[in-house]
Amino acid sequence: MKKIYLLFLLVFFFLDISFSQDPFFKFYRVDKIDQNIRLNKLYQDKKGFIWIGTSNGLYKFDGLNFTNFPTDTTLQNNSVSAIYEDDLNNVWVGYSSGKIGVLKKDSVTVYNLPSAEIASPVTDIIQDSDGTLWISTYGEGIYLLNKNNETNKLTSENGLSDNYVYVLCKNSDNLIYAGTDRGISVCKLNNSIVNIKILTSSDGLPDNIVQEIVADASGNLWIGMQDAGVCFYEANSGEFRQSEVLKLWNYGSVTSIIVSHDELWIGTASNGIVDYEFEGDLRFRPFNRSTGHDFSRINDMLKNLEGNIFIASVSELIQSPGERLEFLRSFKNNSIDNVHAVLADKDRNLWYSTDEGLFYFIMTINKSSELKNYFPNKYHIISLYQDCHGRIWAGTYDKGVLILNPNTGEVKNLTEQDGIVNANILSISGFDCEVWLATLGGVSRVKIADKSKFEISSYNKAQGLANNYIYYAFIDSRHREWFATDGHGITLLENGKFTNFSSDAGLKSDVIYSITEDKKGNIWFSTSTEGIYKYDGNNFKNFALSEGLRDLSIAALSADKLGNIVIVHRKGIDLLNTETENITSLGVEAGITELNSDLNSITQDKKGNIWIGTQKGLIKYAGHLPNPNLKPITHINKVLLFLEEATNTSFTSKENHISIDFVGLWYSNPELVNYQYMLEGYTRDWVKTKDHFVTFSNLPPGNYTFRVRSAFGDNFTNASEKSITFKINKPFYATSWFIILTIIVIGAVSLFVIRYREIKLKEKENIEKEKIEFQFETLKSQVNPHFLFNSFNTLINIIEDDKNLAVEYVEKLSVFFRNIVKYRDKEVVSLVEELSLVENYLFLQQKRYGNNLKLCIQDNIDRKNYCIPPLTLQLLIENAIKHNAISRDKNLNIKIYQENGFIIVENNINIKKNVETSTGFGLQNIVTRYKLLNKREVKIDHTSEFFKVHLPLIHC
Amino acid sequence: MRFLIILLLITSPVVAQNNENVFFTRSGEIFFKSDAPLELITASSSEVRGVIDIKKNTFAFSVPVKSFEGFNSPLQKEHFNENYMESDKFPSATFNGKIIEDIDYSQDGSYTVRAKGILSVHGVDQERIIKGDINIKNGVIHITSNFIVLLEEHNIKVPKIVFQKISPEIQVEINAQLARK
Repeated sequence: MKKIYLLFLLVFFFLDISFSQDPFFKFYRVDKIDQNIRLNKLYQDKKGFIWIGTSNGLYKFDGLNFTNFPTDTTLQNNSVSAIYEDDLNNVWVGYSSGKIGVLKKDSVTVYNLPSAEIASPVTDIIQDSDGTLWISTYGEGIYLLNKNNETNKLTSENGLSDNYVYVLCKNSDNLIYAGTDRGISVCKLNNSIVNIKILTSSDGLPDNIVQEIVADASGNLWIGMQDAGVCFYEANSGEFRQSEVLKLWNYGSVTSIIVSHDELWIGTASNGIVDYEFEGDLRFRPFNRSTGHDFSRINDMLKNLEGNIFIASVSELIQSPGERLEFLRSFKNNSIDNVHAVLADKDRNLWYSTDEGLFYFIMTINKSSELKNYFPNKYHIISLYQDCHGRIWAGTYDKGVLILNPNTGEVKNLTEQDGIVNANILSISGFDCEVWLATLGGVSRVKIADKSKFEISSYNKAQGLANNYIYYAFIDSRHREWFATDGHGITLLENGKFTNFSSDAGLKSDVIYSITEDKKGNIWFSTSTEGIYKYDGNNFKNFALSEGLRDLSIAALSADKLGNIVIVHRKGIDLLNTETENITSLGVEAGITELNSDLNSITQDKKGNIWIGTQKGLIKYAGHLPNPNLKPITHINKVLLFLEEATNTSFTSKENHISIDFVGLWYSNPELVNYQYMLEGYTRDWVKTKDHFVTFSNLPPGNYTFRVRSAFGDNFTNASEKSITFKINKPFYATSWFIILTIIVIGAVSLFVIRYREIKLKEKENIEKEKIEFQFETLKSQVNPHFLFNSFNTLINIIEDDKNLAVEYVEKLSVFFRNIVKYRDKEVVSLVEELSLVENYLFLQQKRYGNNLKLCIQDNIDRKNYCIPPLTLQLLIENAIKHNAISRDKNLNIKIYQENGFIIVENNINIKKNVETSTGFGLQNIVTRYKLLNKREVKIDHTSEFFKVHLPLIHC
Repeated sequence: MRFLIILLLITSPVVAQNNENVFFTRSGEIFFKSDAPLELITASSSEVRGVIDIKKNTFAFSVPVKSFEGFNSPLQKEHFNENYMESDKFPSATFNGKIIEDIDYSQDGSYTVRAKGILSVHGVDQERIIKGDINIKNGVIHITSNFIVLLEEHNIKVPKIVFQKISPEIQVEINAQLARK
């Protein structure tokens, strides 16, 4: 995102051709480096930000900075011609190329319309009550994009007046007006069906090319046209109206319209802005197209919440406070200097006096350039008044009052000779046909009996006035007279009785300059050095700097039509709301740099405009306009983590460097905005700043709420506030779940270890037990009487036949028994040992069974590397012999071989006739021993044919 | 280009004869004037082809650049065709578009209208709104209009040295009578 700081701001003053009465204009360029950027479109979003569509894409303006939002894909033509924020706060962007885009964070993503491609410039986007987007184009009619992402098209073929559409305007829920080359298409929505009615010149439209349509507050339309200027359309009656003044339009093509309270600002294609007052005088005022600035082609205008008007000229963004404040500084190249008195007469024409005379300016259109000077360079006129006969009273220094009949030119001069108390007339006021003159020698009341007969009575110290120097005489709504004295406070004349209020009554200053009255009948008056006072009939209340006044030397006061007290001083105009007693101001932002006004050089016209005479022309304050929003609106723009925009608001313990970007939107004068912020959970107090950015580093884990508010000065009561909550999580080792988990794991592990040990001990115990049992059994078998009996029988037979063999037999028998004794304590023995034992055993048995018993030990047995629990094989062979009949017919064949990690003992089955009782202990013992050794299990295959035992091999 | 083909088709007698919504001419007059400080140049042509579709309220006009006669010398005409207008490359100047105002073509009467469309001169298109007068009498549409063509807008480059002799603003006048076939 490219951020360009405001680089260019210029204020210009007016060099005029005829009569210039202009508002203040401030000029910006969105980018100083690229001077070729063209401004096309202005838009204000719901938050109040200003968006600008330019030839260089989309920009956002917050009063200080312009931020560019580029398109995410390269477009040949990046020129933005339409902007709209929909109901879901998506900002839609239309391009001159026909492309549509949606703003996503920092860039605009091109949006491809389903089954449609626009090739003509997009001119406007709005949304109807169904949520359908209406996209108007210059050449292809209107595209409708509904919520289901379906596209429809309105063209001249299905009823649109023309395919060249300039503008869309919605004035009620179901009516959309489209301005085209051939009139206005009134699109009525009825359950998602669009009915189009066409309005053209045959319906009274002055010009078929409609380039701008704006709805006013009551839903009626102002229509800007190519040739015929502006007309009014009353929506209910369907009637087009164009005042006689508007028919005189000669400023060319209308591009945009701003509807204000009682006037229009009309942007044109080549003549800048033309102001049209549609209430009151009905007149045009083309604002000045002055030197150095682009003020001819107006592409768009916008009035924001504050009442400022933004103007997109081709290359500059122009900002103006609008109609609220205007400056009248020259007439026909003659500057209006040193205005002493000003008067708006009953016909709203303006009178003002300068050192050069009394000027009369007729404000109506027909005589707009007429300025007449009565009494050139003859009198020093310092006060003005219009009497009940319409005559102008001009109070002078030293020369009394001049009473001028503007119709006849007849002048009457009232002087001390005629009975007035003094010839220096500081102010004139009155009611009905009674005129009061405030002078340096007291006050005179002039009753106008008829046009030429005056009854004069005077008051001064002698009659009870506190002082003879009277700055101002004021007649209140109860017809009481108030006099502002120099040095003796304020004096009230009621029922012929003078009452004086001065320092005795608590006034800080006794020099009173001006007096006015609010709607509730409170009297307000200003002092020379102590601000202003309000008198409610009982008490005096002072308003000074701490109440928000910007200056204590007040030159003039006036109550406006809305109940504000307008306070004029050097620094500008302060407005005191009499309801809330809040004070706001108009100053530099409205174009007032320094305001030097003579005392009481103020007047109010019939409409409610307040005119102030100054040393440099006249200022008009539109005191009848409703107050727009008068405080900054706070927004949090974004939260940054290590200066990168954060994507969520929950951070890890290491993500503890948080910055917040915020703004208080106040386009009128962004420099005036002060901020207060507080990070709840971290700080307890508000911190004041002028920055729009704050950083918190090394934040400890916790929940935080950042609050920020903005205001002018130091008064943050009722300030607009925004907040955002975020969380920095504890490190994982400090989180409760981690601690709990750790405890659980440790507990589980210890438990497991204990249990394991227990199991192991038990196992060991079992092995011991088994071993002992086995040893016992083996011992028992060793003394198996059958075995011994059989062995000895065999031996007897051999001894007789073969003495040597008998010796061998006895040797083998003894080796066999020795081995049994030797091996029985071991857990395992090698196959070498076991097999030699087996062979030995077999030798002993074979002597009994001869060749009827056969043992085949296969060669493939890996005798060296494998072990086996001792006597296992022997036991199996013993069992085989024990359980089977062995005879010549029924040989017993025992095979021992290795297969798949098992050593297998297999024998055929010869069922015995009388079965020996078997405990089954031997085989069971083998299985148990293997189990205890924690080896693979012993497998036993027992069929009718053979008996097969698989003994897992154990590595030695 | 497509427009030109349509124009030629419409104005050729074969196609146009039976369409009663279409008025046309093949002999409209056009006149232009360059009023420069040092020289006044005028030229005209009466070979303007034009067509108005009164139902759609659209129009198309075209004139062959080479058909302009007048000028102050034959050499000037040659310059006009070869250097400025490049008439071999861009043989005709055209204006086509729509008429903004509603007109009752069925009755005699006079109207001041705006024609909005694309003016193509020297191969450069400009969207223009041009005012003109339409006079309907006895089934004949009589059109007159004055307007200005800016050389700059149509990329017609005049050497600096000649600038005093050729105005950057060319005043154009058109005068045509269109009728049904």
